[in-house]
Amino acid sequence: MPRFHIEPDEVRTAAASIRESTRTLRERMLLVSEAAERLPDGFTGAAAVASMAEAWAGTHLPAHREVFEELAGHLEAHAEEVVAADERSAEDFDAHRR
Amino acid sequence: MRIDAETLREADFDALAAVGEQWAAFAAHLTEQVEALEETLGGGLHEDNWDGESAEAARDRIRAAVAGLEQRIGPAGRAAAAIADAVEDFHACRDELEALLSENVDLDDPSPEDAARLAAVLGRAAAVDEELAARIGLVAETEPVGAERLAAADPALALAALLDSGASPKAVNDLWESLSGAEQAALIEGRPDLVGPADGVPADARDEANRRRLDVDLQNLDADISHVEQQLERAERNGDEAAAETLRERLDGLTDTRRDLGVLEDRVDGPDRVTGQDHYLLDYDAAGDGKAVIAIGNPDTADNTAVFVPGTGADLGRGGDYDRVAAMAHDAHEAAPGEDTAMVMWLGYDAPDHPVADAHSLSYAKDASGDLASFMGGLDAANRDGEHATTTVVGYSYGSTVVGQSAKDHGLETDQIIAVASPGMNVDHASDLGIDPEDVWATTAPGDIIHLPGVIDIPLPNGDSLGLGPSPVGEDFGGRTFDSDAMSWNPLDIHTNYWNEGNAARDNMAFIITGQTDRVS
Repeated sequence: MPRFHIEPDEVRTAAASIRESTRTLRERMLLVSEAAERLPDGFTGAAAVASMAEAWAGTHLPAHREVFEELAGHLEAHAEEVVAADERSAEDFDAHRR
Repeated sequence: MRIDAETLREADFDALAAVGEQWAAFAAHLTEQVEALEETLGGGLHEDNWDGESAEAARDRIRAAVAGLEQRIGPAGRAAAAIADAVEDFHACRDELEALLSENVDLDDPSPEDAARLAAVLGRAAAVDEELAARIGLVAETEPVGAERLAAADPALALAALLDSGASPKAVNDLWESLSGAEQAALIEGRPDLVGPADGVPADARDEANRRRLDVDLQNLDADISHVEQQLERAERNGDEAAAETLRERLDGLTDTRRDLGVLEDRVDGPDRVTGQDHYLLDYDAAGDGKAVIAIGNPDTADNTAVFVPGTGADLGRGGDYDRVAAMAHDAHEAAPGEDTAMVMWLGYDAPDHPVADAHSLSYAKDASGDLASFMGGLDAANRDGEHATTTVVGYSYGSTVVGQSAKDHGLETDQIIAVASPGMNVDHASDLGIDPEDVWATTAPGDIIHLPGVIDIPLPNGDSLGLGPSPVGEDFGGRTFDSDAMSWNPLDIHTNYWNEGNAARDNMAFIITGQTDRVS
């Protein structure tokens, strides 16, 4: 039997925070990409730096977003579970009183 | 790539520096996110607040997300560092080039000497460029985020997750053996803190990892001691006695730890002077009284392995228990010269400090029982000839209580058990130890303080006693006994004389450990 000493809002807040993190990380990555666009020509190292920025923006960030969106979704589902469990307990309590 | 003078002069290295700064900011942001998620795990979503399968599943997902983020921090930070280094070096090259040009060197038609100087500067710039490309190449190839892929792609994450999950030493050994030699070497070098204490990892790998840890700990302690000494000098100069007192206490603690770890380093330095066997540092911890697990000989390849569990008063700074282990290694070598016998000191627990005041408490044994069982499971998992090798656990004094508690609570992967001067093993009968009672051996010398009434067995008003169980040398216990000599009239001395030169207990233990039980008296 699960045991809850947690408010659903706490779980929802954690989920919202995780969704927010995907946005802030995207913004940070955008700054890297923008800076990389101004890199000097004629240098292999600079080209590698630009390539890394492109790869992370194109591959890593979407993969990260996918993982975090999924995580946030699960947390929200858990929050609903907490609410449902509380409601069941309340109904049981009312039925018992009746 | 070749770089010409014009390219070097015109390049906007500030733009390159800006990318480096953005990667550094990105790494910092990832760190903040990790901290925020860890705070969530330790706070609102902690298991004290939210229990059950769903909660655990949610926490597992968050931990996986944290691992994913952490996996990105290193590469982003290393990219930033590589770029910062390159920017500095590029600027230096350009300064040299400008210095050349200020001497009115004709770039289109330089003298041979100027041409050589120019080529040297441009060559250095090309080398900087190549190094930057190489360093970025190392971090850019990292796999994209994804918890399962990360665990599969990163042995350190996989090992950390396995250890966190409380997996068996066998599972740890399976993972270790699934890694390539290069992956194992990288783990030892990169995460000695994970590899060194991991039960199930082979002894030679643990030894290498723990020696790396020890080197770093000693260097850090030396630096800390030097720093605190300077602070203390300053406090004393300023007449700040309160701060000076605090610093003196801190300095004493650091110096004690440095001394203990220095002794440990000396102990495992070089082979044993009698048997010629190598030492293996299987674990250590400087915190509190300190812990150390040292083997003389490789337990993974030995014909016989014995694990000695010391009793009250054992700590990292005292050499007596290591001397006992060395004596047993020498005795076994003499008793069975044709066999390879490894002897392990398992000071892997916080032993009671006082032989009388603390030794009737079971709490030390209960706290240690899981760790001893895990260690023995690790030896079993890593042994290359587990079917033929013979393993013996030797518990001395309160150490025998730890052995009994561990066997009772968790089961011990051992063929034989020896209890020396035991105050009781917290089991009623030898058969409760999970092995054939015929393989349970015990000795107590005549007059040993351990069995004086009231020393360990504290009488209770109802006729019971607050003890650690029946003596394993008692007839009702069901095990076998062997002789040992008192070698003193003093009951306290008798308790510590079992490894004295000439004590019959030594030969008898050597015979048991090397499988020559028909020679035991």
